[in-house]
Amino acid sequence: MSDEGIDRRTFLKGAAAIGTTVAAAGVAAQEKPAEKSAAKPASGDKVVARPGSDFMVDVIKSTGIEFIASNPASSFRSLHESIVNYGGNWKPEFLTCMHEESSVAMAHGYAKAAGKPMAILAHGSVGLQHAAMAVYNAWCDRVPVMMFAGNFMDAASRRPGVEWYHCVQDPASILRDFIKWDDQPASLQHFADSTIRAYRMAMTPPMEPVLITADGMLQEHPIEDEGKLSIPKLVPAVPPAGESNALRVAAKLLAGADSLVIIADRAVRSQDGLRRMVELAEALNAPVVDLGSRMNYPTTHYLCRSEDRVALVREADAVLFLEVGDPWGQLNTISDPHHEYRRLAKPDVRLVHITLSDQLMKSNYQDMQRFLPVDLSIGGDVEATLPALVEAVKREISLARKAVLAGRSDQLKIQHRAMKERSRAAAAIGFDASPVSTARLAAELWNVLKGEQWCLADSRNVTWSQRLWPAEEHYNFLGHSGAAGVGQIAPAAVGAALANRDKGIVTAVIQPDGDLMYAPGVLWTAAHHKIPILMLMHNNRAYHQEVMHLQKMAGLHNRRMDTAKIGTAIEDPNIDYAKLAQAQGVWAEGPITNPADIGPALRRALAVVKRGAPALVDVVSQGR
Amino acid sequence: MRALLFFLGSAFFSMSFSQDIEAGRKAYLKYQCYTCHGTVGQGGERGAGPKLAPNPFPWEGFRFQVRTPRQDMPPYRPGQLSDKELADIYAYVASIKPGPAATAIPLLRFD
Repeated sequence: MSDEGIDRRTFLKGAAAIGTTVAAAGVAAQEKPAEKSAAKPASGDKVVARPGSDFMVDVIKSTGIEFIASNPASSFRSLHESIVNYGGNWKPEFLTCMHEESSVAMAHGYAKAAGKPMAILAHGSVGLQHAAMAVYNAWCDRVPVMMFAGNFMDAASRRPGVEWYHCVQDPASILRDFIKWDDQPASLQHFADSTIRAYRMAMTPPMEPVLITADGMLQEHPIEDEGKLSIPKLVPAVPPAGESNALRVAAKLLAGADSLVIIADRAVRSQDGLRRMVELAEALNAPVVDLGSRMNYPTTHYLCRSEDRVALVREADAVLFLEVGDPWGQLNTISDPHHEYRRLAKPDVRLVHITLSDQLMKSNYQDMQRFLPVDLSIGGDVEATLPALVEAVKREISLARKAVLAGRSDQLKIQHRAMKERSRAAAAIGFDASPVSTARLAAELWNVLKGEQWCLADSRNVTWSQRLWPAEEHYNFLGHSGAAGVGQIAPAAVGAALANRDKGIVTAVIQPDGDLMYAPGVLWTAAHHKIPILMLMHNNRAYHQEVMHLQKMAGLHNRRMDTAKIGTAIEDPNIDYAKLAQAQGVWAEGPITNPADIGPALRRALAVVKRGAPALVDVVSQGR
Repeated sequence: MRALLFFLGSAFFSMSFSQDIEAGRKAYLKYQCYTCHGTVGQGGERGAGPKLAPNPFPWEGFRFQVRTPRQDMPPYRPGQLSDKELADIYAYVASIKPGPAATAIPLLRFD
C-alpha cells in the first residue's frame, strides 16, 4: 500500500520554495549577520531526536515480538523508521510484504508454529481493508496476531489529499466482528498500556487477533517528559481450566461408556498436550478422531482412528468433544446439493464438550456453527484441563473396569491397522497417473521429509498426509486456514517456515495453485528474507471446489454438465509456477507431468531449502 | 452374492450395449466425471467422490447412481448424458486395470 503522500508537482513546488527560502536566508545573512541567531529556524532544520515511535518500539520490544510483517505505508512511516534505525531492525525485524493479506496470513502461520504472535503493520484504512479476510481466517482458527494500524486522528494536522483517504475515525470498525480486542490510544502511555493488555488478551485462550492503532502524530512528535512514561510488565494469564466438580461428572460418564469416541479439533498446542491426549485416550482405551485443526493425536498410535469417524460416531454411546469447532456436524449431515438431513449418531448418545467457544461469541459472522445441545459443557482450555481430566478419569476407573477396557486393546489395534491399510490401498489406485494423484504428491513429499524434523504447514488441503504419514510431534501438522478464505495457505506456510527456521525443522506445504495466485508476492518475501520453505505445487489448474459446485448446480437445474470449467478453470493459458517463482528469486522446477520426475526434483528442492532458501516444485495434479 | 450381482449386471451390460471404451474415456472427460472421481477412477479425497475403478460396481447400480444419485452427486439425466454415452463411460471405467498393490509400491511404505 505504498503511497507517496505528495505528488510530483507538489514536491517540486515545495523544493522550489525551500530553495527560495535558503537563497533568501543567504541574502539576509550577508546583509544582517548579527540577526542570524535570532531568526526563526527553517523547518528543514527541525530535528525530532526522540519521536514517540521510538517509545512504541520499546513497548513492542518488551513483548518479545521478533518480527513485524508489513507492506510499507505513510501512516506508520515514523514507526517504520524507528523499528529500522532506533530498534536496529532486530526483534522486531521488519518483513517486507507485498500485500496486507500476506502480512496477516504470515503471522497466522507463524503463531501456530512459534506458539507466540508476530506483529503486522498496516494503514488504518486501506491496509486493514486488504488484511480483513486474513484476519477472519485467524479469528476462525483461534490464532493470536498482534496488529498495529497507522492513522492520523487529528484532522487539522493531516496533509491534504491522500492522507485523508488513508485516515479513518475508527480503524478497528472493519475488523471488530472478528477480533478479540482493539484500542486507539491517545497518548504514549496509553499506547504502552493497551499494547501490553492486547498482547496478553491475544495469548489467553481462546487466542485471537487484536488491534492497536498507532496515531501518526503520536508517532512523529517528540516524546514529552519521558521520565513519566513506563512500560507495564507483561505477565501471561493462566489459561482457564475446567471446573473440578464438572470434570468428576465428566469422568464418570466417560469411564462408564461402552462405546466412547474422543473427537479433538483445536485441543493441542504443545508436545506436553499431545502426551496428555495419549494418556487420556489410553486411560479410557477409547478411539480418537483428530479433525486436524491442530496436531491433536499421533497418527501412529493404535487409538488414532481419524478415518473411521462416521462409523465410530454411529456406534458411540458417548462422545467427548475437545474444542471442536463444529460439534453438530460430527453427529449429523446435510447432503449437497439436495440439503437432505441425516442423523449419524444414536439419538441417546451422551455428549461432553470441553470448549471455550462460549467465552468468545460474536453474532455477525457465523463461525459458531450450528448449536448442539450436550449433556455437559465444560468451559475451559483443553490443554489446561487435560491434567485434571486425566486424573479424574483414572480415579473413576475401578480395577475391574480397567480390565474390561484393557480387553479391548487387541481389537482396537486390529482396527487401527485395518484403517491404515485401507488408506494405503486407496493411495495405490492411480499411483502412476498423469495428472499426478494427490496421494502420489503426499507420498513423494514424505519420501524426502522422512529423514528430517518436519512440519506440514497446511494439513487439510491434501489430507493424505494425515492418513498416511507417521506423525508424532505437535509441530508436524499445523491444520488449516480456519475460515477457508482462499489465499491463506502460501503466506501462512511462509510464516510457519520463518518460525521453524532456527529450530532445524523443515517446513513444507502442498500448495494449491489458486491459493498462490491471490498474492504470489509472498514468494518474493520468502526469497528476500531467506525463509526456507519447500513448496510442492498441487496444480490442478482450477478452483477445483468450484468446478464441482458448478456441476452440482447444473445437475440440479437439469442443464448441460460439460460447462463447469467456465469461470472456474485456471488454464488457457496455463500458469507456469516455476517461472513465477524464479522471477521472484525462488529456486523452482516444473511443471512436472510424469510422476517419476517428482522425487528427483523434490530432492534438489530440499537441498536448496536446507541451505536456507525457498524452493518450489510445480506438479500438474488431479483435482482432488 | 455380490459376485453374482456383478456377473449378472455385467452380463446384462454386455448384451445391451456395444462397448466403446475410447468413446467412454472421452465422455468421462467431457462430462467431467474426473473432477470428483479422478481421471482413472481412483476417487477424490475430502469426500469429493468415491473410487470407481478398478472393479466398478455392477452396471445397473452404476446407471442408477448416475441417473438418480444418492448423497452428494449431481444427477446426470438422459437429456444431458445419453444412455449410449453412459454405457460408454461404464465401459471405460470397467476397462481400467488394477495397478500395483500398495504393498508393491515402495513409496507407500510409511512405517
